[in-house]
Amino acid sequence: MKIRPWGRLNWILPKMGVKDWHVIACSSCEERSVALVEWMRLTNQNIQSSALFCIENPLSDAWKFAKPLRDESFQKLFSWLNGANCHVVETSLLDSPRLASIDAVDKLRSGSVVLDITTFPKRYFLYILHLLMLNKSVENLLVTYSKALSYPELALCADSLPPSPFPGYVRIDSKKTIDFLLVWAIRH
Amino acid sequence: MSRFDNPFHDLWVTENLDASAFVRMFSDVLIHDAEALFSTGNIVLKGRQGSGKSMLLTLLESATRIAYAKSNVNYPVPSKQCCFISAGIHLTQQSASLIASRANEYVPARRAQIVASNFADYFNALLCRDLLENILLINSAQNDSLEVLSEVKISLSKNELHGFFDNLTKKQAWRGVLRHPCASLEDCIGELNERVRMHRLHANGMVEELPNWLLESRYDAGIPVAELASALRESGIIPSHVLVLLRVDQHEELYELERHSGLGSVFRQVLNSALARRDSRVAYRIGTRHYAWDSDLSSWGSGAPLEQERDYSVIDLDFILRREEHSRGWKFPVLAHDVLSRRLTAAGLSFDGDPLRELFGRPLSAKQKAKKYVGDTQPSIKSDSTWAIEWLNYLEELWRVGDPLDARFGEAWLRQRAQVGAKVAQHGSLAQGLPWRRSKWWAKERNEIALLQLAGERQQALIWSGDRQVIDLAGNNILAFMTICKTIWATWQRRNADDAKKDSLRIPNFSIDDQIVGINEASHIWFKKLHVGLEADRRNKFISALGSWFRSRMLSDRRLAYPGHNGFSLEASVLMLDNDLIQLIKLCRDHGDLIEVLHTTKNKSQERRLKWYLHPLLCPYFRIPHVRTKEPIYSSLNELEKISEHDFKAEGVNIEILEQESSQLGLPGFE
Repeated sequence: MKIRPWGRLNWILPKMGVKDWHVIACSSCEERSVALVEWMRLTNQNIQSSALFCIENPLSDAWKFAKPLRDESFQKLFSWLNGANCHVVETSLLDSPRLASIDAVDKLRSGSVVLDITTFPKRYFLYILHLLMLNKSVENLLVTYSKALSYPELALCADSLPPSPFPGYVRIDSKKTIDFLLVWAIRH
Repeated sequence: MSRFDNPFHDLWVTENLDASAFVRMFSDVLIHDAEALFSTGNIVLKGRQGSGKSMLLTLLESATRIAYAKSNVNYPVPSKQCCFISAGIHLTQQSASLIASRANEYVPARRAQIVASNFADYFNALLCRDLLENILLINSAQNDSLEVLSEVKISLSKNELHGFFDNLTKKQAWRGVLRHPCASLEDCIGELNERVRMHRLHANGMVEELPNWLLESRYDAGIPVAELASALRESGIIPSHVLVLLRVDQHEELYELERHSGLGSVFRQVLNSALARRDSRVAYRIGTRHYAWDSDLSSWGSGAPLEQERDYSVIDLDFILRREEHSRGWKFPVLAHDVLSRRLTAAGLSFDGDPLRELFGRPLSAKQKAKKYVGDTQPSIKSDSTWAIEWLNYLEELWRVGDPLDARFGEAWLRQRAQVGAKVAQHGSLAQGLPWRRSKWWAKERNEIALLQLAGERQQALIWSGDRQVIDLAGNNILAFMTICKTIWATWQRRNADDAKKDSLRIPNFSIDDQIVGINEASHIWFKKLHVGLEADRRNKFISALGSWFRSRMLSDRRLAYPGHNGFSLEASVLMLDNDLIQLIKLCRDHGDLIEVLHTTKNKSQERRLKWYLHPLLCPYFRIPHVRTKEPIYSSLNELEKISEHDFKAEGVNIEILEQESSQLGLPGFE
């Protein structure tokens, strides 16, 4: 039987009894992108290896503002992870996530993986998750998320692209008819 | 069904209509204008979102034709033009974007070529598979009833199938496609399924490379399906005179894909190359939006551009539905009436005569609206100290006896240059007889701006109601019309819960306040739709700036001198400039946010100009009139650039007026 517990990190991690972790994280303009690694460092968790994503956005005014903040987070994460065989993955937001994700997963030195999705673009972390689930050497998979202290009352994205399937999740057998109804409730 | 079920709530996305619902809902009003769809030659069906492109393309589908036959409803196409079989690809539903999903893994120098070859193969496989599936579908229906689609008699005997596969496998474009011997169309579909599946597995990263058998049997776009059509005819599976029509819907998906994949125009060019062959064995029906079709007509490989009327013809739904100078022959109201009647009938609701009139009633006159806006409030004539007291008394009296609109006209008329020059306001003896109504047009042209000011001064929502206004607000777009119907019905349900729950099958009469609330809701929905499409945030910002700019100018115009300032005009030559703002204006036009009209200028120079107005359904959101009258703002790129940055102060507009406005508006005085 597979156990899929969930809860706060300081509750769940001691219960897993894992000594060495492989961390997959993504630097971003948000402060919380460093929260997991900072917490693991402060609580003396052993990070044996890591893959650190540094993702470029398409050029825009917002990115001009956000890029220095992303660079700052990256430097923090890199310095904290550097002793742990940190493998840097540089890529672009709209590129295929496949090669970059394989690159990150190939560098596993432990069968226990923490995937921090906090500020990972969905198209990347969903692909990495897909690879990790298929990877037989992965024994423990912990997916973490850090809540922000506050959220701005602003649009979360600009000039969004038309909806399309996430890479890795294209429907293999297409059916024209819709045989289910998705009810989605969101807060304004 | 009862009145509790909003007949406009669901089934308003064409792609989700099942065939029998389609038969009930489809309006044939545009069939004569779209007659070319059922003939030979390639057709490009252009229109904005919600113009009815997909609905017309769905009419070609075999499942639709079978549903017509089974429901004993006449297929709305002359029988002499029914001798066709159709197959299609819906580029969004079939995730055409998956072909680009691993493009960055290819060597840059060969990237476009590889993507083009893979896209052509995916496109070919989907069309061929759908054509075969349609033949099986028709055959199955004909086995149940010989009367179904008798113009396209399918014959699938053993001999014919044997001849078909023998013929097909010898065709150049099919070499290596069928890896196993096939005895039935199902076998052939299975082979094509595997091909499609491999592309999807590859896109998902579940296979490292596309297999060699697939790579080596790829062919140019359009040729395999043409050869398939040929083999089907030659073997007698379909009659030799049957047209094969190939639908490609949501063509704009390719344009959008190209914009962010950095692959140039490769996808559209591949499709263009199929049309450029002018292969008489098949004919394409492309559903697209204006911007996606017009911006690149070159063909993959040769680079030669497609030529209209040689390689393809155009059916422009927006052009067909738009209103000319005179409303006679205006197609859109006829379409809207028909769509509404069918929707209500399909919901089991009853009405006599004109359902639009029964639901929405007649629009209020300008005078009635003015009375609603002012209610019992005291006259608010803003006079100058130099005006004779008789004028002030006269205008206030007009207000008190229930004609605040003329009172407002009188004030504005006295402020206009001609009257100021003649010192009319200083001559109290002239204060009689509604002199501003001596010209037939003076008051008529100023109704809307005067009403806007009367409502604005009282922080009230503008009144939108009545059948004519519902049609006008839809802006010749059937989706906008349905949105208005849906939100008004929902408002009526919310505000009249007991009435809505009654089991009556009679359609309701919506009150004016339900219509105001519902139309404002529809306008908000339409405004939010600006977030969809290309450059959504820039468009949203620009349209918002224009809306506020128009309103502020109209509110501050005490002389009612510029009743047409709910639009702007530019010299046509400016549109040739390579300028970001010009591109943005064109993008807004192509998305239907702005309506572009030729402007017959009053300027002596007679330079060619164009004018733009917001889509009518955006007008309630910005609280400006939708009626286009008199002269628009003669603007310039420089001015519009400032406006787009919300720099209204530069344009001498009283911004305080806008800032004082409350976002919480009252409903005009209804009981």
